[in-house]
Amino acid sequence: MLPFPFNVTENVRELGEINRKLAEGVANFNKLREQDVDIATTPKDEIHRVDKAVLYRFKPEVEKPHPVPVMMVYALVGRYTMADLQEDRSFVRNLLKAGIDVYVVDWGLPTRADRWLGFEDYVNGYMDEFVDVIGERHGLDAINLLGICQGGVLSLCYAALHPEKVRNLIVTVTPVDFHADATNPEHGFMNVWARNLDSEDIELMIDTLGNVPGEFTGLLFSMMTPMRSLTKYNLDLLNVLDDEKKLLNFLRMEKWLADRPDHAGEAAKQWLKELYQDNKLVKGEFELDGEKVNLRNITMPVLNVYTETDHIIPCSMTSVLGKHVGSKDYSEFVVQGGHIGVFVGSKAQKTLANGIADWLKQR
Amino acid sequence: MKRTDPAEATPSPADPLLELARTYTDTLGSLARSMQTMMSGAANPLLEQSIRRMMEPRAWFGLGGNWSGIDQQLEHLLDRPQLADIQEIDQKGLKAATALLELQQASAEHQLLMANTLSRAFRDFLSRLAEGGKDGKPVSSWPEATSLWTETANKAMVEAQRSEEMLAVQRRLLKSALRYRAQERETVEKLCERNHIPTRTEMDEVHRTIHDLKREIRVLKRALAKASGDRARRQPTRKAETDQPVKAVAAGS
Repeated sequence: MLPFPFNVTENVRELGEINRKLAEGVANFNKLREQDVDIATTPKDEIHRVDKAVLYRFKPEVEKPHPVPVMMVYALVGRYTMADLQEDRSFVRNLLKAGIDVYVVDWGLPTRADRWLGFEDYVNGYMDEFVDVIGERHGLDAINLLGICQGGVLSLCYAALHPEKVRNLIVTVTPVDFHADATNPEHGFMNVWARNLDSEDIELMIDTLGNVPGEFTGLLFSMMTPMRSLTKYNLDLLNVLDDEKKLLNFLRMEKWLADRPDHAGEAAKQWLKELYQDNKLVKGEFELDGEKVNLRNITMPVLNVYTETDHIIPCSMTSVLGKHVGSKDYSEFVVQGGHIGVFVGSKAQKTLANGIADWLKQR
Repeated sequence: MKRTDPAEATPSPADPLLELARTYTDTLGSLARSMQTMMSGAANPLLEQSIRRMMEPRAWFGLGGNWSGIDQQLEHLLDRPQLADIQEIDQKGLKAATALLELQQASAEHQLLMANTLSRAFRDFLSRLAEGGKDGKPVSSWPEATSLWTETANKAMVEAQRSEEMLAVQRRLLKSALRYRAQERETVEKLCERNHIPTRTEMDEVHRTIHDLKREIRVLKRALAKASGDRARRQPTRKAETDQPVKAVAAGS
């Protein structure tokens, strides 16, 4: 006996509906080819390359963009292409339409040869060189910096160590206090997982694997929403199969998720040990190339963008930036959406880029 | 995760299923007794115990079962002092085998914990169904039941993930997987050396040297640039900075 009413007519109808979806879905799938699932389509030019890291400039969409360009710095986890997922869900396009001149750093796909890259290489090496290149092109000594998640941490380090080269700093969904755990049990699993390991466990991981494989970080993210991850291909996909537009949206997100670069080993060690476990950034103990990263040195205008429903980097970790930086012009921009939804969600398209652009134009 | 004392647990629709499972194992034990009685005229507790153990999932996964004998033997072999003329490759192979056993045990522990979590989730799901589903409204269709199940199971899995038990098991699983991989590499590298093939360790050393050299060059270049003087400052006009409190940027502004 079933614990809920079993209506034969209704169940037959539902079965018929599922079959219809499946039939139309199969037809839609058969029509699609890999090149139909296109992401990161906003035109851009390669400007400079150092090792595997590449600096691109997106082609401006206004005749006279804002005179101080923005360099967008993504995390080492995942690819920057999320910020330009598709034409109608592109943080980059929205910034361009708002008149901002946008550069982006593509960290590339690290191999075992990059196992020794640490935060200092990314911050004092690649970022510093790219900032100089942009400065030379535009005749500026300081540019605007925009960091996303771990890219925001890289940007905070850069701004603290080279404040004279950063005109305005924007960080989005960026962890600052790594010990500020969320009260919601569905948020902030990374904090729990990372602190569960010993320092020796992390050393063993990096020494054994070299880099942290992209599949491994992908698995960690899947564990944050376990049932969602398990039912993605049998429930979520089934729901969108018969709608070609929604199916393409789903597949574009899948394409971005599948592009999982490995995380350079030494940088991963610093990320997990010195930041997640020891919380050195807010304590002023995080060192790069022998120099302490002092957030008080961040004296340029700062805009902190975060969301209150971020399950990956809870807002308890992001919202505290204001009390650590030395800037007298600190602003917060609380937006709706999840960690990724802030950039690709439909609501965010109307607000995020325009909010940032307006803030920049006033400075 | 706090375990519910069975004595205090409220009856749930899943209880009959669990009772059925217990009845099944008891029945098999009784069957073994009966068979032994038929064959020899007397019950054999050893045979009954063996059959019970065969039906015990923990024994299948080698948790405290027959595996403990094998890995103990291997540990004993590896613990012996090394003899100079005995091949190192054999030692490494044995170490890899031990590491693999540890990994299999840790994996089995993890699977068992996940199975327990899902069993609890199913029990909670049946309870919620009996209570009237989400928001007290009775479930009236398969999609509603599916939605209730995914919500209930997600909650159970998220809670279990953060439990001390699960975190300890996951840590053991990760460590054993890494140790096995490290041991596997050591064994392979020994074979590579014999066949004149560069090893992963050697390549890592080369990359490390290149990386350190690049870093030195970067530091030197920066020092050189500083010594030759900074570029002239060129700044577009900026509005005067004032001491301002934290501002909130309104959405849509």
